[in-house]
Amino acid sequence: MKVGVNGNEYDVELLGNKARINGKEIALKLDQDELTTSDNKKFHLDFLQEGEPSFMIINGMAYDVLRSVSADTATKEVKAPISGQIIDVSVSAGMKVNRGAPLVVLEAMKMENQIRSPLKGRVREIKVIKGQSVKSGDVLLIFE
Amino acid sequence: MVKRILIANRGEIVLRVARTSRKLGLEPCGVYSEADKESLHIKHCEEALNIGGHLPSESYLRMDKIIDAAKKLGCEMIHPGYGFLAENLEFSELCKREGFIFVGPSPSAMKLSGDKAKAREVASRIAPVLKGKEISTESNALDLAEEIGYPVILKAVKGGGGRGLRVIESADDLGEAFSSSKNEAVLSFGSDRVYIEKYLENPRHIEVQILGDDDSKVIHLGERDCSIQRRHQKLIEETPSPAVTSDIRAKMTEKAIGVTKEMAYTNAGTVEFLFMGGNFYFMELNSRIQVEHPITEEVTGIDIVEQQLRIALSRGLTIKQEEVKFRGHAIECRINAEHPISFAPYPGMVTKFVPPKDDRVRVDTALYSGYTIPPFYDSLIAKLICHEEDRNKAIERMRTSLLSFRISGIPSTIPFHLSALNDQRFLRGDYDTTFVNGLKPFASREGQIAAALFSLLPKRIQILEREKDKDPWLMSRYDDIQFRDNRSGYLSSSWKR
Repeated sequence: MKVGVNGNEYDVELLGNKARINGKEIALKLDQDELTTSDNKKFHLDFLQEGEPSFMIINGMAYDVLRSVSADTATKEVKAPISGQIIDVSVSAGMKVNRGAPLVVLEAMKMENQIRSPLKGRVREIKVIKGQSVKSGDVLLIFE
Repeated sequence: MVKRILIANRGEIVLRVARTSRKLGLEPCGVYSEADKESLHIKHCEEALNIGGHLPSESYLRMDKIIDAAKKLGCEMIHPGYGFLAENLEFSELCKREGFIFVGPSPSAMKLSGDKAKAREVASRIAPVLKGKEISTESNALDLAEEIGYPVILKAVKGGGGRGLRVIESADDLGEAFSSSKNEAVLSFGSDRVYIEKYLENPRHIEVQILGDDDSKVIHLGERDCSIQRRHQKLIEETPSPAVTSDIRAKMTEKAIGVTKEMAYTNAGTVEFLFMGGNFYFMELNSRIQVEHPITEEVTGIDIVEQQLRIALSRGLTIKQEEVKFRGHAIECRINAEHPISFAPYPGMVTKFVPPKDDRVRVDTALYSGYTIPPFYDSLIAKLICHEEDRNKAIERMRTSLLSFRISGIPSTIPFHLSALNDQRFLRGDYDTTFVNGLKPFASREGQIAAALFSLLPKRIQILEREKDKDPWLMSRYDDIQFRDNRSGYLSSSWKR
């Protein structure tokens, strides 16, 4: 499997308790969120947000990780990245928007967060209204 | 004889003030909102009252509820912490009227320092200030901007915390900026007064900690360099500033003391300066305990909260300027519940919280494993403070501490701090308020580990499922019981002196 990490590509092959990474074999032991390598170094998966790319924090360091396969699974749903309150909806159903266009303003932790369109397309349905509270992962709107 | 103090705040600052209150024989009391029922600050109070509400406007900003709680709890004194009501003139006046000792400056000094346009004017008699003044109409603004030259910055007279600021590059942008800044000022600060100032493109932000008592005795505790910011909010602070020579320090601290006296200011305060090309300009005087006060405490060995309480109790300043000794170098990293690259806030459950196990570092926090960070308040979750004999050693200790600081369940700004502490500009001490813009993420070293871990994710889910069958509380238990039980010991262990 080819894996892209912060823009660099790695060829990873899993072989039981070992992995071959770019042709080099290392022993790995995974216990819940901690990975131990053969030289007894420990790597803790602090945070994982799956997506395209996935975002990982390992031992306090951040990585954007991408599976290098054809990405025809374009996002049709826009989800709330964090929990908070919808303070503005800038689009309506049927509207055509460009990539990067403002969709929804979500307030969380005293901060206004502008949620922008991940693609160019037409909005099919708006799932939220102004004033509504949403949880992280809730669908905000759907594209055609 | 004052016996009880109400700490009208939430989170780590309550723990911080409570610790010193107990040291002085005062019983710390608290308040908490409906959303803060699980907050650790409650446990550190002798007694705490639920004041209801979720949003700050329903809870910690409600003066009536705070005063009511202080009465019910039998407190004689109120410490506002930082944020919320800390710099609210009306609140300090109300405390006085209701017979409470307010830990902070007198209402008249707070009135002056809270009026940034007036404060500038008064300070200009003593210290250099940038060109500018308060303006009431758009045409006034245009004339003034023309006179001092673009770029200029629009600021709210009653503002603070980086809100209501507008940088204006040319006359074309002024109209829109003027009205939107006025609107934001009303919404955030309840006043539409704004002022214009010459905008410096890439200054450093350096502040001087001062302490003043009722007998107009004022001392300084040195400077803090707070240039590493995003959206005008500080992320890393250090003292001494790598940019300040002893000559500049002498001038800057002398001016800070002068301004404090000119404003008849008492209690702990911070005189903020912009610093560029060897020149410094007065910006404002903040009348609260600052988030970054610990680094000053570390290098001076002075408990600033203790001095605040002593001054409020009219016991006066017992420290003479010549007794203040500065030892070594201290750095603070503010760890926020935010995405480390976009800085988008990220409330939620903290499944694991394990600070570095190192007696030499100080961690000011109210977090614990299993705590759910509510979405209503500030995203600051922990302050990591390292104090060593020199800057390089402090940076090295900070790096090690950041790498071994485990926070899971939510992302934190730890990766940002590691990137910053590995950036050449930071290492050289050559940075300004635009530092964050040019920052490259520091992570590539272990790229192959990230690739391997990513490939193992399906396997990890199997392991977690298996473990969950054995231990149904795996995902939500308080897995750091020791930290919870030893919390007061843990916090005080960081006080080396």
